[in-house]
Amino acid sequence: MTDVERLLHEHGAAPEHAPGFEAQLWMAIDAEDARQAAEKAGRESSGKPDGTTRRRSWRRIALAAAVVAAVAVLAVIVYPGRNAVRELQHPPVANAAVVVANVREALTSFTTIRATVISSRAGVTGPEAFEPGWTSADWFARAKVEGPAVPVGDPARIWATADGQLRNVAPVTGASWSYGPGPDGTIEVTREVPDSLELTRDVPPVSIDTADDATGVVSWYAPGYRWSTETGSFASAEKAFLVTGAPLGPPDSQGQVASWMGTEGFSLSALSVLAHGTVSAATYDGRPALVVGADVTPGPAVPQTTGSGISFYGQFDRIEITVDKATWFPVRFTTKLHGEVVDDSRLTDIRLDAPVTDALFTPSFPKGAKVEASDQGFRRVSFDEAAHTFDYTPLAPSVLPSDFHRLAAAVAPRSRFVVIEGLGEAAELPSRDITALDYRAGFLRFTVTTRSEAGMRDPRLADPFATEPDLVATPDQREKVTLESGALRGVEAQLATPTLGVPHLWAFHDGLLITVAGDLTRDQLLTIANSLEPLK
Amino acid sequence: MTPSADGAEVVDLRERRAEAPTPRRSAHTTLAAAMAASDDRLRALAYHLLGSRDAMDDVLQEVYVKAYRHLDEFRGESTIATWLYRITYTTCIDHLRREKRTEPMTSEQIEDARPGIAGIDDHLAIRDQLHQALAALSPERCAAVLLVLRDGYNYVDAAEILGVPPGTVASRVAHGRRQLAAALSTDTEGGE
Repeated sequence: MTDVERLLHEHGAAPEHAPGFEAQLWMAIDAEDARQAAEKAGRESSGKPDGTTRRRSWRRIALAAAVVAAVAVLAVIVYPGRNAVRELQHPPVANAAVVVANVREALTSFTTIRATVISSRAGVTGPEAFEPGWTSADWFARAKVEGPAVPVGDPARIWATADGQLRNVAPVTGASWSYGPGPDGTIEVTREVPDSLELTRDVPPVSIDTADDATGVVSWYAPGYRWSTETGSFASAEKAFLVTGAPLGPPDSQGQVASWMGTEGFSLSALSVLAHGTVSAATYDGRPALVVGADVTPGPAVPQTTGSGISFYGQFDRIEITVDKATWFPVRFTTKLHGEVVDDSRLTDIRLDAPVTDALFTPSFPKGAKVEASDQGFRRVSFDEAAHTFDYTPLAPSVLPSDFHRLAAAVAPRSRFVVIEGLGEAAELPSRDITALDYRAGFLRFTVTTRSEAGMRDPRLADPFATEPDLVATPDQREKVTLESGALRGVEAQLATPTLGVPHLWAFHDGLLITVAGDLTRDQLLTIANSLEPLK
Repeated sequence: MTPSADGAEVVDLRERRAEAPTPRRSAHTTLAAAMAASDDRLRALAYHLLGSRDAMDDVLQEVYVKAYRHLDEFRGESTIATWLYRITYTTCIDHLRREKRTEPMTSEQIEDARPGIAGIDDHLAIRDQLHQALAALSPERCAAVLLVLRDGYNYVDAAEILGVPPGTVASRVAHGRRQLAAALSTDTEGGE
């Protein structure tokens, strides 16, 4: 390659499109569709058939169009079909259920995402103690947000695929990335981290995480940083972590292999709540957007089990999601208390369906880095193998929601359940003979697990999924249901749909604990649970 | 739809992609996929030919709508990327004719803007310098250089896009390479 070619390759790229380019383009495409439809209708009404359609009257066309439109809207509300993303780009009357349905559809349609994540947070304070007769609501009514939300760290860069691969390049404390308008007017992160780790000694101090659900390999490395075990800070020995056999999904994997949305606070369970919310128009990064918001119950706030003071969780009374109108992709998630922002996580510099290579998600450590390897014990197997690994037959759904397909199966003789005790300290409980089956629809996922019930009836497992305080379901978000069909017919199951945690259901049956959890609505959870049959 | 081993109705993504969706959805999907695959290169071509991001965006809006409008007529005789490239090139040339493109930089101006490459470690400075050097080429020569030297097209495919014989492409590339090398103070070694 000559110097000219090298320069063209390295520096010949053009700037990104101006904000709003794609939105404008899809509006132009919509206009083109409308023009073609009008042209066709004109030909038909004027008695000039185009050779492929027969003549119809305007009245019949209008009636047919109205019926089709009504069915399309109903179909999106009741059961989001895969054609919904583009067809309903500009609903005449913005309806939260329609927007949420389109968001779900968008999340099943795209195959990759590349984006910069910017998070900010504000502190919440309230009375030091409960007065007699107070409830959590009373405490939160007196709580207040301390000042505006401030950035939490610097922007992080994520890449994710619908196949369960995730790469997260995030600044380590003290890193100096800057984010803002670039010299050509685009908004950009000015210090990009090269994909190659060959330059590890020179790259900015960031951490690089990779995860792959299909292989169970997770890695973490902070190039250029050195970790001191003596001081507990980055100082001396360079360190990297490589985890194999990572769990597939919740309840085993919380905090391990998380989806990018979970990692960055984009909780899909919030969508169910938001479907009952309100919609307003907005502009985001210069593009038309919609904001869907809904009021929620904050809390709980409880006296600390040890010492004095109050512990409070779910410190918000409203959640909002901002949706890019052209793609229906969720780009911002915000929680608020008394109208003030508490947590804010937003995506920018987004590329959807941009090509990615497997190398991006392959752990790579420089020579000389001390890699600490561990195996969490979940071995990827075929679904056939999963059916016969242990002395029980795991359960699998016989009905899948639209667009979902099998992604991976994993088995583990042992795992650890992380639980929180009384909304306080975390504890780990051993779990045995686990079979996990993972299903995907684009960026949406759910996991079905079957395991021995041994040790799982511990009272600390009142909710086996409540591993983080903010993920705890409030009493009105929990219910007991009796399953009506399938292998668990007649079994009482517990169902929880916490505002930010993963929607989930669990039941004990025949010496086993069965769980279903993921990006599902309450009805979908029940449908799957009612369809569980022995895996063949 | 594939019946799975456990009896579930499993939709395989590969099958899903092969399904025959509605014509409109199919056209949207095809266009979106083509954009995802080619937009970087189309932007580079339009940006360097037209000289500004605004003009680049204007032209690419026109290109994508044209492509969408005529998607049914795409016969598959070339790749969709090549087809898009050709639409982009001709639309850029039309745009330049309409706008009466500003005069290219003079050799004196290029000379003034020519610090040694080795002394520049700032990506932005190199990028600007390269952009200026490309802008100094004629649009036809600039397009040939980008197609062959940057995007790796062979002369035959580039000729199809540019609507000229392969020999003309080779000539444009050779002259363009020399002109760029002179502007950027770099060598011209390397075969074609």
